[in-house]
Amino acid sequence: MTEPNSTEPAVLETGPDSAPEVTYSGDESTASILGTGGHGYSQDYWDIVFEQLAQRTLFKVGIAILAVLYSVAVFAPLIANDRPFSLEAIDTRDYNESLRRPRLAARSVAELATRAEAEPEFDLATSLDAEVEGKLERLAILRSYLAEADEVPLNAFEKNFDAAVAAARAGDFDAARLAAETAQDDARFLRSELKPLAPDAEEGSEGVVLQPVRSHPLWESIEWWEVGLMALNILLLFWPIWNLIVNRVLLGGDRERIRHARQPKIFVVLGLTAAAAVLWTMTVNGDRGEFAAGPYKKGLTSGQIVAVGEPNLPFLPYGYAETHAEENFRPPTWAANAEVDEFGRRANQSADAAAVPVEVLYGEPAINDWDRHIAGVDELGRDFLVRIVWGARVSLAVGILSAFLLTVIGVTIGSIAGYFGGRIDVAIMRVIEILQSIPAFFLILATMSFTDPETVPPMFAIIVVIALIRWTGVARLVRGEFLKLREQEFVVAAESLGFSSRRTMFKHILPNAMSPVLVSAAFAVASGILTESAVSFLGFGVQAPNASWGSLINESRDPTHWWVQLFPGVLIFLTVTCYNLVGDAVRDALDPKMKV
Amino acid sequence: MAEQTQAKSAAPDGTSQGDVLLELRGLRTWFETKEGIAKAVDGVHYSIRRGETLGVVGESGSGKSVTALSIMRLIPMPPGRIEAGQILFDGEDLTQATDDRMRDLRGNDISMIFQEPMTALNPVYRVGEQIAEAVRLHQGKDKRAARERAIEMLTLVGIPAPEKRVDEYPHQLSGGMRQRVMIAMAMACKPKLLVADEPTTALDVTIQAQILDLIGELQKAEGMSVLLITHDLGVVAETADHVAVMYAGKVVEYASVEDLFANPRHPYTIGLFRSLPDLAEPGERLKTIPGIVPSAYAFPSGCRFRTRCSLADAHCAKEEPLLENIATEGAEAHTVACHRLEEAAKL
Repeated sequence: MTEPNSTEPAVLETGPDSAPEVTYSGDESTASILGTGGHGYSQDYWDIVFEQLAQRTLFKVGIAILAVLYSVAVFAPLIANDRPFSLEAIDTRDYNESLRRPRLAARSVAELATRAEAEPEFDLATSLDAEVEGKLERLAILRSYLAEADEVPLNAFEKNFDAAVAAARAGDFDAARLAAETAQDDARFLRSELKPLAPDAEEGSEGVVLQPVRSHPLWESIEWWEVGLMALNILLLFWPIWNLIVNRVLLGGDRERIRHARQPKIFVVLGLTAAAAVLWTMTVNGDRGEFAAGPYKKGLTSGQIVAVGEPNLPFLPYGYAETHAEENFRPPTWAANAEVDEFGRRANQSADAAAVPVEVLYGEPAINDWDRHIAGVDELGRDFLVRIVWGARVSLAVGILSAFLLTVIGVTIGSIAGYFGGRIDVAIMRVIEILQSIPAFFLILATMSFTDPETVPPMFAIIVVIALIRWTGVARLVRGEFLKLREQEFVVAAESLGFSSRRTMFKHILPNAMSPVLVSAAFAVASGILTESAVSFLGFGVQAPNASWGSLINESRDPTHWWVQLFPGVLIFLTVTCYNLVGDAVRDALDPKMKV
Repeated sequence: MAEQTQAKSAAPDGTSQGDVLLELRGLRTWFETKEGIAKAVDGVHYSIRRGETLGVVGESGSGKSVTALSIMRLIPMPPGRIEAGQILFDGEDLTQATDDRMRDLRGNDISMIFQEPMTALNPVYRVGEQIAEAVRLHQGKDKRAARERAIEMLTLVGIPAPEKRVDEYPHQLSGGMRQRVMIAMAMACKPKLLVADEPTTALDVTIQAQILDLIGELQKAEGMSVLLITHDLGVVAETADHVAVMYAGKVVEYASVEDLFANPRHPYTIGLFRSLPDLAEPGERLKTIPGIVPSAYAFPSGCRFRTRCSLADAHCAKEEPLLENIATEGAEAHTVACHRLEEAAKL
């Protein structure tokens, strides 16, 4: 009860130090750094950092170029692909194949029954499941092309097939064989009965009319993580716009509320990213499969796929592993000496007896159009620009992921060394010195030569190897920051409140040590890209048909194939330079005192 | 041996009677460095009763802060270690407590406020978060309840518009406000003992008084004990119930504040009072104690003050004086460690 009485005077006599109505009475020392004057509101640290960054032209240029490069990498499947976005067509190859399969399935059910009879321990159930699944898949394809009236023979077959399977499962093998026999006859009948009627067939010829089926080959090849990255990319790309709208409309321009909304905004962005990926998994759930060399262009060209209308292909209508062997090492098609005859021979090349005509597939630019191969062709006849676009994914991902991983490792080890000090620090520092005494690049090369590209994807191997070898710099940096901050009173204060070592380290010291880490991470991305390029150039990195900018340079060392070295080289240079520009700007912006 | 006799001699000082919250018995905190062993705290006895304030005064390097950090067990180990002695807090010997137990106590039963309000708050967190963190950790309150407690504490320490201030960063607050936030942090879990290590040194005089009043008021309201470390005798006179004067890692005089100010007995204490500027005789040179505090690596033999004491003789160099109660029978204890008390009385 004495509480209110005893505190009342304290509130009343809060003298000059509290000044209730002054907006933010920062003291002079911070006010000079944080610049309360002139704005009408007090800025906190991040306000100043963003303002500083916004003033730097080189930072803005660097970020803009990086934004373009990352967008291209993320949207590569929509930019360079050999699949049409949407297709309403009859795939006669697919249909005929599906027509052939039911008989084979029925036959193998009969064989399985015989085998199960002879070998009691034979796992019949699993084999039958596979056959049933295959049958269902093929019948579904047939049904999708057929009008309902034409499906009658299918139903007859399915009835007998199912009876055979059921009998085999029940152990009545004779009945199973008998039913399978009937199903085989049905299937033979299917092939004659359901023969497709060719679109140009004469009046009165035998066959059924097929219905075109709509599919989305390109979208179905896109995987959930790509959709997540696309969502993130769009959100970040339009960040200035939606951020402005949210701040003005939802938050009413109130500085304090905007400041509080920073963290929620990050959560919303990440949440929407995750939501997009999850939604994709639940709906389309695309799968790229082994190679991006889909058969669609060939089918459309040869007429095996009969399309309604004209299906659209992306801007660069080639798969990253698609070869046009006759055009190998063709220079960029806009260049002066790139013109070829129909056999892919250039003006100065002699006639070749065994010449094969250049294949110009559906959706591709004509043979001598300027945009047929904008960045030339590689040794195997793959479009180089398409490979650069897809290679950007590997190069940029290796940069970001290796920098992230090495920062995590370095920060953890550096924090432990700096916080605990003493023998732990001495031991960690010796390990770091030993690691740093070995030339990092050769260590990475040596380690890469021991990893098997069959078992470990080289891209992930490079990321891990770079991180495991290059973390030492960050660790030393963080250790130094910790040694400095360790002596600060707020650290002792945290301990005096009974916080655990881990809490003190990571929650109280680390956030104060993050700015130099952020800067070094930006440089680490640049160095990761360079390292990956060098390793891939030497052939220890990404293996064909996958590409990275480094491995692309390695496609030819002949100076007459200038485009092979020029384009990926320029892109590596550009990316690394931009990261260095951004890193420099961030370093300056994070340290407000340096400006003075 | 010397340690035991000292501990025995501490008994008649009267401080072990009554409702004692904290008692130090022969505490020695040493630092092992390349130059040798620094005996920063070398046999300290004092005790604090529930609800009272003990002022610990002394020059820089006399071991005041190291004693306080030893109580909190915040001495960096290594190089530091508690070589000997006991720290009895509520009957529990903290020198034997586990790290987990100490983490439970810190911030909950014993809290500390620091000298530098500018650096004692974490610059990257809002002040409300910093207050709430300890509440959540020690009292298991959820986020909202902890935030409410933080606002309550800010109100209690006299910060205007606490609902708004709770979301501000330390740099948005003035020095005095930051010290109030520090106090709010330390007191959020209602500790039994508040260790205040020079809480007002970095503040200007008007705010010093406010902060001291605030600590006093909160102390009365919550019934906690305060260990006030300072080198400012004025602060001690105003706030403390008892005073311990430290010199070179030892307590040289201990008495109630009235007794000490009326009747200082140790030559060092007398010297400290003499060196205060006298308002009655302006323009005079300040009287200082000659020399400096001896290095903790090599204290002089016998009485540690003898190198700066005008009364020192051969006996002082030979034998270390022990704390002895010089109070008259029945009066409150007044202990002094000096061989030449009669001569000192004439100073």
